[in-house]
Amino acid sequence: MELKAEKITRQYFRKTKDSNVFLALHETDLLLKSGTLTEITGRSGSGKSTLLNVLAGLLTPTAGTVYWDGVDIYGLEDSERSRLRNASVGVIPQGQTGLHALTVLENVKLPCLMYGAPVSDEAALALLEQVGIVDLQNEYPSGLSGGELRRLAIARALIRKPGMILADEPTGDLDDENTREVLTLLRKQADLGAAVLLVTHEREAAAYANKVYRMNGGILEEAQS
Amino acid sequence: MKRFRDILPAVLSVLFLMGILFVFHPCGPKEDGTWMSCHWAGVAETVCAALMTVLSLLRLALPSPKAKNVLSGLTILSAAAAAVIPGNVIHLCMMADMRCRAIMRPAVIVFSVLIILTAVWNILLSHRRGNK
Amino acid sequence: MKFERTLAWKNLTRKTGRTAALILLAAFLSLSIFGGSIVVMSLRSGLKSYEARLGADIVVVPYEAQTKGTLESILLQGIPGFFYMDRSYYEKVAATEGVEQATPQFYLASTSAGCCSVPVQIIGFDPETDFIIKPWIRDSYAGDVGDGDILIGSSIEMPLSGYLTFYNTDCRVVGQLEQTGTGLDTAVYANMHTIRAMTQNAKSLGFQSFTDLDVGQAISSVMVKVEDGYGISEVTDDINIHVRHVEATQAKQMVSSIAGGLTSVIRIIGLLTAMIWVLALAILMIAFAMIAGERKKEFAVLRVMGASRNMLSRLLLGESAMISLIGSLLGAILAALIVFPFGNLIRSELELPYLLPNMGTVAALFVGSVLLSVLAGALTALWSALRISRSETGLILREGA
Repeated sequence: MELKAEKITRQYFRKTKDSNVFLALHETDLLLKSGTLTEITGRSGSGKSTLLNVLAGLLTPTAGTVYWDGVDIYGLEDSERSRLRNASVGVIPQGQTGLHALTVLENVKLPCLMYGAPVSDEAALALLEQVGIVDLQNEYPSGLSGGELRRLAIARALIRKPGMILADEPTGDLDDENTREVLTLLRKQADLGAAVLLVTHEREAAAYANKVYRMNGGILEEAQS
Repeated sequence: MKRFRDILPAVLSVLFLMGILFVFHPCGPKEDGTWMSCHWAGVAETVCAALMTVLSLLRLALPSPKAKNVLSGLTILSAAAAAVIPGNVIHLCMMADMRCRAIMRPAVIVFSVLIILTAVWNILLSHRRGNK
Repeated sequence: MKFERTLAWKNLTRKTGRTAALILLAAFLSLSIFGGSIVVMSLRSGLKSYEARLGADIVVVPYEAQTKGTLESILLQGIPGFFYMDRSYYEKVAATEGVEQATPQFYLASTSAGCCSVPVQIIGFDPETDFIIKPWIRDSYAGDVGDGDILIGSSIEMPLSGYLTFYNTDCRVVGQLEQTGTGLDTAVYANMHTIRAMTQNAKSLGFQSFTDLDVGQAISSVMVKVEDGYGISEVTDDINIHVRHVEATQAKQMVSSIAGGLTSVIRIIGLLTAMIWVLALAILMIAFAMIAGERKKEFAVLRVMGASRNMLSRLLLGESAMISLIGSLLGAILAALIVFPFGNLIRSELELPYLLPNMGTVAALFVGSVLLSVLAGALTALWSALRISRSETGLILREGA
């Protein structure tokens, strides 16, 4: 799967000294190709998450166009875009995102149930095994640690075998060993053909990436290797 | 939720027992000191309520789901008996606005229905849990 | 839809405390409207039945009726009373111009010996002239009411022996009358011969009230039907002017005084129901708004997974619909458990005619109340659902991050 962003910008209404508008994302072009892992680093508040949300179809850009496999996603109706995201994009959002009413296993299977896609317990359990929380399959998110919840979000994002993975700080609450495991897992997804975008502070991540960008004050620049 | 379901029949049975003794008891004695038949209906209701209280407390104490279901079944039988006793098995006073017919019988019916419903709920849910 | 339904149900069952509180609120909606409308309809049909059973245009009673228990308390609450005048007054009233039909009635209060520890009202009628009781009897009993025969009101339980004894007079119970929702349901009906025999026995037994009474000549009231072409109020005035020691009252006045009391009760019920609805709906609306606010992050996560905005709205509306459906059913069942078994208590507390509507009406009211409550309850989440569907997920994720 290929993601292409053309001249996308995003403004927020926020009072600053000079104006009421804050430009979180300056005009940006980006291409994510199948089989590659792209890393974006940068300080907090630099616009990394804004870019990721715009690319994920979750935040309408102020200007510009985002194409998923040539489809202008913001030209689609919300229901069509949502369905497309469910089928082909795995998003790992920031923070703790387990649904409190569902067990770990149910949480992982949820994206498949949304539009009636077939799902087996085995497939979900295999993913939980990969992220190392298979023993917690019947627990509720309230009983999980921060790191376990991050791994749950990763397994959930991968259940539909998406062609594109957009991960926002997926190793945020993990120790070194687990960080390496998650990065390896994401690299493996890229090697299997997915286009992976990784937004992270992790220095180690560059070693897994095909391309590294740095975000600075809303401007995306290719990092010097 | 399960705890609530477990405790509910016991709470209702105790309320029923207290109620029949102190709140919705049957008519008092006649002027000459003799009792009307509704008094005996009241006594029968007290026995039923006491029985249901014992059954529901036992149900709380016993751990086995099978035993719990048997006790729920017995509670349903006792509550059904409690509901049909006044006016059918034991006659009440003749006037509809007498205490035994205006207050005791309706209250007995309400409590019996509630106790039967909670017991059925408990049995059904324990079966569903068993099937899972 | 299945996905939203399943998730909504899981959300509700995981938060039992919150769900139970919301269900309780929703239950108040149907409890108040179903219970309230049953009571209001019962009062209305009670009044109609009272009007029908009164059956006369004018009611004539002796002056002393005011002190010895009024006719109204006999008819409405079934409080036994008795008062007497000489039979000659019946003839005088019947002879008044404009009177088409007149019939005497005789009232006797039993002692407690008959059945219970409370006295029963016994009403005697004259089969020759009666136009009040007989039409009512015809609905449930085809034969004649002979000497020693009695009919009992619907609120009196049929004795197993088939006999009731009043003042040493054994009476055969030949039938039970249809319910009227008035004090007439707790009365016993006999012909003049039977009731006079009872009264004579009471006199012989030494009951003080009857020592000076000429049983053969006494009557308690005269029911009058006015001829077409004559004004009821004119005939009433005529009787009051020309026949001394009696008081003639228009039946319409008796009904309208009750109708006045009934209107206030209905107004109070309406006001209470409205207050409960406004409060419950407002609390539900605030609760859903708070819940939606609290769950913004959860909804954003669902969006991330591919849920559309409409799906989120359906999820929240599904939750509110489930809560409203369970609550409304519980509320209506609870109302039924109060209103039907305790009907006699409500009637005696309200001191107004009270006749429960028929099963068809009750069923229609039940379904209608539940539907209305479900709809109102479910719609309280509409505003929150709309707000969710308009929010931008990226902004929520940014806030939460």
